[in-house]
Amino acid sequence: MSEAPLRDRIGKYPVMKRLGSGATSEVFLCHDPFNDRDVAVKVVSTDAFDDPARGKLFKKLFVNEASLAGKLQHPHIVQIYDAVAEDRLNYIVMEYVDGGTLEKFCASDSLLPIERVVEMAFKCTRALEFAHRMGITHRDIKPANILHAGGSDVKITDFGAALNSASETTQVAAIGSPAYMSPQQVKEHPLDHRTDIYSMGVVMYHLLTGRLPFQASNNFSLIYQITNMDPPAPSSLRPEVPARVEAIVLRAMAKEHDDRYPDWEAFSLDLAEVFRSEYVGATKEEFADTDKFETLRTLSFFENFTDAELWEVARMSSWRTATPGELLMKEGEPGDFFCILAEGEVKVTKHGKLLNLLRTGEAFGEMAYLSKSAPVRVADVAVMNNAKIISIPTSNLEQASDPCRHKFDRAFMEILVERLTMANIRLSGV
Amino acid sequence: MSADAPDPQPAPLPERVGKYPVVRKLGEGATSEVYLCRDPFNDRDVAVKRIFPEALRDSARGGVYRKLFLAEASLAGKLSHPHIVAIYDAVIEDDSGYIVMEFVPGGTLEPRTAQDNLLPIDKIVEIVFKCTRALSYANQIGVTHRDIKPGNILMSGPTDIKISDFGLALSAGADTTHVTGVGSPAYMSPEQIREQPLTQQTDIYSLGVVMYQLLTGQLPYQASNNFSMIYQITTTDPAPPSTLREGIPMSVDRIVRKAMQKDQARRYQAWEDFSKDLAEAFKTESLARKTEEFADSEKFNALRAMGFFRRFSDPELWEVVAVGRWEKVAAGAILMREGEAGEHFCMLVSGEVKVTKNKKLLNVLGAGECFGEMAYLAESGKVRGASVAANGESRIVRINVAELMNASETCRLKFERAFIAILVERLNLANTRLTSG
Repeated sequence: MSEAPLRDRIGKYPVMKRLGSGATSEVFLCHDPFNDRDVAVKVVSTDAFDDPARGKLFKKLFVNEASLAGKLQHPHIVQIYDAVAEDRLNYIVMEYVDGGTLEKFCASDSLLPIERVVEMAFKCTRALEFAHRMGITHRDIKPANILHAGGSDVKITDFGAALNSASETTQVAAIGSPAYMSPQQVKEHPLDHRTDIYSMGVVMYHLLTGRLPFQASNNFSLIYQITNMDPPAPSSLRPEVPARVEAIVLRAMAKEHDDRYPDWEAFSLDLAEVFRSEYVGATKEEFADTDKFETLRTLSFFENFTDAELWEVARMSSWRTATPGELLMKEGEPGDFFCILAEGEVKVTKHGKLLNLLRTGEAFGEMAYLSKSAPVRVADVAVMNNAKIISIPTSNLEQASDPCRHKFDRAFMEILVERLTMANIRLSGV
Repeated sequence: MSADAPDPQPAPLPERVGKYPVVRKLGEGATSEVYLCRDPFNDRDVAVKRIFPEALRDSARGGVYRKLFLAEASLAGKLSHPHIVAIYDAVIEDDSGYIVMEFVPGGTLEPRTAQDNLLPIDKIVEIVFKCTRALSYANQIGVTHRDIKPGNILMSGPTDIKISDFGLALSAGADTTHVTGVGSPAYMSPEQIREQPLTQQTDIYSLGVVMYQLLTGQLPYQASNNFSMIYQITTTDPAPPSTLREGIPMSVDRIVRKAMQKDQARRYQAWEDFSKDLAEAFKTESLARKTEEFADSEKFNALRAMGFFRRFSDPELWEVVAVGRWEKVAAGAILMREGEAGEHFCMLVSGEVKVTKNKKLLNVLGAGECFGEMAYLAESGKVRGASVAANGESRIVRINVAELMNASETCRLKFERAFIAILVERLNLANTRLTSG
């Protein structure tokens, strides 16, 4: 094995070690001294850069697309920090994720539990929906482009046609296999987000069964199958794959646009539902990320939150169920958290006198966050009927991103305005 | 590439510095040069200061210097303020080093130190005020500049400035410490000349010198050599600026003198005091403007004094200065009309306004209070629920809600926190009235 000697630095970034290499690219772990963080630097060397006629244009495209992809800031998308195209050196500087790619879960002896696959696919669909809304199609969704960030957390990398045509894909398609390509991609039809939906279906298929949907000894046969044949049902390869999960994979992989999921929203909704019906209680945690995210999305409190912000909320909150009669907050107690009712009903009382009944989506204990004075509960809160409680420690919220805190403040402001209006009506009515 | 170019060419322009393609040269010092470059990834122009390899090879510096250079650039990079040049990146390698900064097209204050090109006195006070606030902010983050001079203060508007080149190592990489501009320690404080430990007071002294020069068109000490200059800085008093230019008020003379005190105990102790005196000076008759215009320092201080803006940082407060529209209104002026669409809210800077609904008096508001804020708070609040009129002559700031949306996330966050505090207070009041009623 003769590896080229490790270069000292790439651009301004000192190299620490090689992380991996492909046909036309190498990825290095580097350090960014100015920002004091580790980064992954992908050096791309492709003939396209050296083309005398179009090389310059291609370099420009390379940086422009990286720049556009750099605008994707999402917990499940690898952040791009910089891109450089010089005479001899072309590279992209990215967030470093220490966990390898999903390829390690594609072998039949290392498969993930099915609910984990559903969770990861759900996160991918939401991230790709986010990218789609920013006008970006990935075009090269495959396990090697999905990094594993621990647990069921994933981060998608290599957005942008120029970027990934500069990297493995086109070449691999030529020398290797177009296994994750949609029929439209194979036929070189114009592409939109639905090509990514197809590829995501193939990724799910691979993760669930440990094999690709189409087995072929040559590309011609593979392309024929992609465009003409139905893959074997995942459950025929892994019997415990539930019918509903199978249906999702097959719909994502439908050859005709009309039969495929029209958008990410529909795809992710099905994943969330199947998770809820098949797997709630199956995992050790009472609430899976999918469940948290989908629940948050339905609550009016969070209606103006973006996906990225909702994931932040899912992360900073703790969730539990509570049974009737349980006392959630007690007057006079110090309070360093507030709650949002995900389901059920609670009552607010003071000295036994009923002040308010709260329903799904309403917040309580928020004065701990809103008022400047020492946070002490001014009323009791007790559960009326089985309830799901989301509690958010105020210290966690203080650590959240500015946009996320901003959304909380807007939401609370609306609540306060509403209450004040009510109070004023009652005052003038008395 | 033509071989028969007749003009003697200066050193050819490098094609790029690091990853940044060079557009043109902006300037040159003894140990560094500055280029206007492109940053294609972030799609913006940047100023890149490249340190000459000779300066880096200097054996007196070496490894320790490189470490210091990066540490200081990183720290200076954390300064995020409208009146400080942002640092985006810094790179130091064996034989190359450069700093990537925000590009400010307006040039430095240097041309404004020439006798025939001096700025009006009120503008100078404004500019110096902004410098004191920016340096106070830097000091709070733990950064002392150590090389304040007109060449390090860039113009970004009529009275808007941006201070550049923070940090000893960075400016040592530049042309200062060993050769100040034309080879003089003219802006150095006495303690800097004596190589004593430095605090924010060294910058206060240097800014005093800058102010002196902007006012009079000359340096406080004239010397034909550095030894004489050093002698004067440490021992003699400069002539008061007012003796060199007509129209300089006593108060401004006093400020310059106090900033340039040789004895640190008698100099301004903190930026806060320096800023305060500058703002006061502005209010003196000789500087007050004939127009109805408000000076930025006046706006800044008026906002600073309001409880509403207590939690706003300096950079956030400058955003408010930029977004607000300031007006003096006469007694009786109608400021808002019930039933009208409302696209702005107001802060009362001074005076008194009354809030009425159907001609019934609802409230009288005093300085520091806001009104019309429902336009910002509630979707339903776009229509004024009450009328507001000035009770006596008042000063107000109008803030357009749509324009506020362009402010930074942190600035808007502060507005929301401030409004929430108001709402919580009102709600508590209402609840008290409800339960006691």
